[in-house]
Amino acid sequence: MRMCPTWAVVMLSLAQVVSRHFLPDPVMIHEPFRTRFAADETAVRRALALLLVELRNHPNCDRGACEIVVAEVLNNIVEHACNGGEDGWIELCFAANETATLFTVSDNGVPMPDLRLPPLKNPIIDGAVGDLPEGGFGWALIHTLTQTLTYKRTAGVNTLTFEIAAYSMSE
Amino acid sequence: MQLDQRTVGDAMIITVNEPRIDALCAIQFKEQMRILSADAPQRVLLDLGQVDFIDSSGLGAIVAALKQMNDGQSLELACLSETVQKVFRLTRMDSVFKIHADVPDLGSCDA
Repeated sequence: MRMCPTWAVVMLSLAQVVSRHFLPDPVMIHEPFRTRFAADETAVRRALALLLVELRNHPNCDRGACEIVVAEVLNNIVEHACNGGEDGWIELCFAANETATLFTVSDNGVPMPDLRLPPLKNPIIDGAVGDLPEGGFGWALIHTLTQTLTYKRTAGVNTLTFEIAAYSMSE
Repeated sequence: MQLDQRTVGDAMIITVNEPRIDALCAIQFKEQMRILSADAPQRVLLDLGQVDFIDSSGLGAIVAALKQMNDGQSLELACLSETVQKVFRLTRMDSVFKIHADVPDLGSCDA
């Protein structure tokens, strides 16, 4: 039995309508980057190397600032949140647009004290050499180099989100 | 952790032959600096030309290296990468160390 030509036209039109409704518009999509790894110093170093390679795809990213901040965030998780636990994991995601690089970092370690971000507190360096601090720089660097820094604890998972301003393309 | 040392004139130049001083190697760095500076002359110059990156642990270890110098010894820094400079500047540690853009001409033994 042959299909009536009118039906063939109707079905073709129907296919076009369906595809128009269910396929995304052909816009540029910046694929988000996502990696998950063990909460230890060696894996952190590898994840940072991977991140730096990925950031090269985004020429206006401030790669130096991103590396400094993400390294501090990951070190804090290894040292304080997961601290030697064998099943500790970290998930690092980022997406970049023209004005900023947006990061989300999650881990299954212990929550932040008081469920809050540590405040910005610059170490005091004006005293004698013997009194210089050897730590406490991490959160100062994170706060200084980020915008819209947030922390939440949900279902046993810590999630930190932050943005790092991109280089202006007109500079 | 690879640190090389050489003596030029009345100074010791310690070159860090590693791309990073970070949480993974900060303690090792501090310990090697302690051993090297024990026998060093008064002026010690840390050449960071090979180091692309330091984190706050690495910064802490460099500060610790300064604090463990003997009386009268000084620790100066040279050849900081852009990112390393940024870490020093943002923590104001650039005001604590004497920082050189290049390894300064210290004169040589046979001069």
